[in-house]
Amino acid sequence: MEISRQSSGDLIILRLAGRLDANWCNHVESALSATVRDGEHRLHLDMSAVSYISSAGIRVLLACHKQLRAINGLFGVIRPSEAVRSVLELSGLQMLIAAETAAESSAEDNGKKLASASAAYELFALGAGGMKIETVGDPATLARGCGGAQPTTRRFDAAKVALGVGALGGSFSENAARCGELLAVAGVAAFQPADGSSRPDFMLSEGALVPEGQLVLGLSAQGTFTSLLRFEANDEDRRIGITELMQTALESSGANAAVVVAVTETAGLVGASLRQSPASEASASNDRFGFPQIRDWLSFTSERSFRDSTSLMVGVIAKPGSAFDALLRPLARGTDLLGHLHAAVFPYRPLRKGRIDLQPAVTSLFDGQSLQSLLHLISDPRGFNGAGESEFYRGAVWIAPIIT
Amino acid sequence: MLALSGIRKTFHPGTVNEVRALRGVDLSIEPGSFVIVLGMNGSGKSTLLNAVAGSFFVDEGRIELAGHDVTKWPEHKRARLIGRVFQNPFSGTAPTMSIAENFALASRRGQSRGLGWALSPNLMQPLRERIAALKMGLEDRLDNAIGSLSGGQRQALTLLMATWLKPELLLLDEHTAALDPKSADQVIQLSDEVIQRDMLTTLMVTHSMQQAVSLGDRIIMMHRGQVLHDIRGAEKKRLRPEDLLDRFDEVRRRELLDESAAAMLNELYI
Repeated sequence: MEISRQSSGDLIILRLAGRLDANWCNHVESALSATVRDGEHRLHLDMSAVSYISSAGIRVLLACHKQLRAINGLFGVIRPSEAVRSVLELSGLQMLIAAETAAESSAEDNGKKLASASAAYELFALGAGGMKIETVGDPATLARGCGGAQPTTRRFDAAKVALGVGALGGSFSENAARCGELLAVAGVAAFQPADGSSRPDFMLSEGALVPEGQLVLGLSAQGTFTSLLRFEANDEDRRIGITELMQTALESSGANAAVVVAVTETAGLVGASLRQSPASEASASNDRFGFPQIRDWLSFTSERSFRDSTSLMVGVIAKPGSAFDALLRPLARGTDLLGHLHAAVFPYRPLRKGRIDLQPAVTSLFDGQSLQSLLHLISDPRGFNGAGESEFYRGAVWIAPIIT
Repeated sequence: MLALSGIRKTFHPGTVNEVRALRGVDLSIEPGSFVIVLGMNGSGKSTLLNAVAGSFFVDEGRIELAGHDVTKWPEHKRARLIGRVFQNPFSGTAPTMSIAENFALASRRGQSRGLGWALSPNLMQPLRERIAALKMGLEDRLDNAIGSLSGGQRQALTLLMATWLKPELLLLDEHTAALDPKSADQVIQLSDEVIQRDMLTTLMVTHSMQQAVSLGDRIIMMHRGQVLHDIRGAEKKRLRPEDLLDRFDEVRRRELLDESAAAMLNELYI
């Protein structure tokens, strides 16, 4: 099986030559998914030189068709050979055969184009609004212990955005020993239990069910997002760093501080998560984060991890001087941008282009129990020894300026 | 069945080659338990098995096996209770002796061997049956020298020999690591059958996550001469290879978190 690729406008044409059978369908499947990963959502498959297609091959075509339809893309077979045409028609799958000329991508409402050296941006205004923010807990308690403080149980409904250290579930007495990195947005809450379990746990609003939990330390915001920033790294760099992305997001909002939520196709994440709950009373030490005992308290990725994943990021970014500076840290040396960002990691899935809604974009990530990890993002500034910063291929950032 | 308490062993103490191979291992294994020992290179897995087998005496701690305190027993005395299969197919058998002769020796392990006929009919009949059950076509080659067989065949025979007398404890030290994938599968399957059938208490060292997940009822994960994780019961049953890889990754991350990373995290983590 030979596969060649050419592009015409925003349409990619893959030309197959050979037999599309069980032996070759994985090869074709990886070529298709590699194309989608490159951000190409409009695909034509030239099958004029395909002499045979089996059900294994049909399944690959159907899967790609379904995936691209779900993200408003385009998939179709063009110039099918007689063998391919008859198999597709007899099996009732004519819809896989595309018209000879592809419809232009429908001109949806376009956002305001911004460009930088390393990425293309598109900004959509969502209306007036903003978020009020509340700080929870004292950061010093992380290293010292919480001394038996009893946080209240809060509801993470659709209007709330929260991040910090906490746990899900109704009773703090049961949760004290498992508090870890937590994030909540769009009626979904997830946290990484710091009790030795390797998988993060999560709750979705369903019917009358609203996720509940306790935040020991962190930031909680409520209100509406005012803009959506789409970004795509340019062809040369292929990826964009978190600092540049957050700087652009804050500048585009015109505010000094903002709540951000991002769904991104991710090149790699750098971050840390708690190994033990800071709220448990087990430790007598006052200096949990000293060396080497920090190894028992924090797990640090030490290099860019979760390559080619999709992630949900929740955070607060601000210029210095905000009322919640104590909960923010510099995003990089040489900038005055501060931030506190958490990310939940999922297996890769492509994200629909253009103007998209927050709620479905977030909740669809949680389909199929595929949440892999949840961490506090850190940009490691240590030159050659450092892990560097988190990087992304493309994605969507919802922005809410913080109002008082 | 096997109880280790406070086992420590340092090789070449006081020299530049000093290696603190075991740094306080406490482990208790019930009769009939099949325990997989995992760990990175140099974590002390093989040293642990050798300490139990008596290849050296431990510096500190106590080893109890089948009701005996064997801490001070020499290796050959412990061999009455222990069957072993090594990674190298050339260990564990006498290459110039025939298959039958090797089994004659194995069948008298720990007993006085005397001057009687070693290859008695009482041995030959069950031997032929057990070897035929391997389906390797070896039952007709009992007079061939073991050295003429392939690694997989030798490892299968070594396993049969090591378990011939139903030892109190079976030690398998990466016994399929030197084999081609197909032979490794055969030997692993045979090991599992023998262990299940005779309900042998077993310690098996492996590097294969798949083996660790699909075999045994308990996993011991070694790191730097200590038991880092002890996974058993329901937790062992739900385990997938990815979970084990995560745990290894976690160990590596822990090592990479050095003083400079600690200083950076103190500055930047909240």
